[in-house]
Amino acid sequence: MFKTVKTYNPPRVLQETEVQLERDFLGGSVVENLNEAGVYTMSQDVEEIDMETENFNFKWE
Amino acid sequence: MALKRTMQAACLLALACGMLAGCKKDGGEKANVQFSAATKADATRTAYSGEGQTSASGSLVKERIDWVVDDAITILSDKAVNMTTGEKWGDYKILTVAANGVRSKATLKPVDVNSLQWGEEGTYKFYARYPADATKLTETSMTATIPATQQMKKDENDKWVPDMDNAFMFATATATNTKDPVELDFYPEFTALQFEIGAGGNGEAKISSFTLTSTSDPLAGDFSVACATGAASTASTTKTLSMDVTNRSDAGVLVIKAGDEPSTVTLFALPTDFTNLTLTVVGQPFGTRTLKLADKNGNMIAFTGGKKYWIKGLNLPELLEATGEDINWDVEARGESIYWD
Repeated sequence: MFKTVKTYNPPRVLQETEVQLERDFLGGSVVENLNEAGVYTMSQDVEEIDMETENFNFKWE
Repeated sequence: MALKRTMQAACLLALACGMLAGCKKDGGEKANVQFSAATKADATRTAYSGEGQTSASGSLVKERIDWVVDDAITILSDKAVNMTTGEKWGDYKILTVAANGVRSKATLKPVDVNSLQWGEEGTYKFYARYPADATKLTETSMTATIPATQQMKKDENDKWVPDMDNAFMFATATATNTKDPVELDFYPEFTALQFEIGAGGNGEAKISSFTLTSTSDPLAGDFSVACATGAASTASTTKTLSMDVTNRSDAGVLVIKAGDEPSTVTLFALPTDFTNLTLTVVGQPFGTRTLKLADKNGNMIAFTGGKKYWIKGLNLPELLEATGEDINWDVEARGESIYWD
């Protein structure tokens, strides 16, 4: 014998919880792989030009 | 009982506030984060470290560019999906920073709740841009704009530093296994021209205009970087690059005093090769002077896109009061007024 129970709609589940479930289903967050390896800036090649040396033509006009 | 009701009411109120805040945040992020250039300017930017790899003679040959916490980047993928937005890209912020030799290493935190997620097994490609709000990124290219007029900025220590808003960087990575680490290496996509300027003689010089012009190649404007090769290209015709020095003092001029440490002016140019450069400086008391950037044989210096050039020894022409020799040149030839403090 089934009994009908009146209920109300509960508040929406917090978004974090919903997404967590989807994340587990999909295979995980890419940020974890990124942080495991690191995000790097590559250095910039530097070249000095010393206009006061004889290698350059330092002449204001 | 009364206490229980009070707690229930408080919980409901907190829940309602949380839901309202959540709705506002979701809507705002979806509206703001786009792949076109945005007008919002993040306060945080990368910074030149002044450190890196030196040559046997002690000269800096590779300079590290440091991440700053809360710097914003965008990552685009061909397969990974942002579970918050449903798009194939996500915004991230720099969470931690550590110097690592000539490189700056960072970890990330997603701006969205969950951001990019792995899907089915297979090869994934990732493309990343910096700054997040000043570039346009697709699976084929990153595009950005080097402004023709630039300013330097003050850092938190009240020191004048280059405007790193224009220090664009780009990275790619490929993952063949969703369990593997994914390393993003950001390469500079700009050419830096750092001028060290001193004042010859005695007294001081006041620079009101500082302009670099090429007779053959573009220096500023739109450019793109091909995702497949990392090669930069441009169709720009802007061959002039200027430093607006009006923010350098109340008088709107860059003041350089003889005997002081040279002042530094750093311009960012396109990440493509250029040559035939002439520097034009306008100021007092020397008027308008030009300097061709050439070697000792008169051959114009060729600049390679993507590098940083540290141009030293640029003392301004002797000041009038120091030598007196320039008075005829300035007054008679050009009819300009003489300036004294």
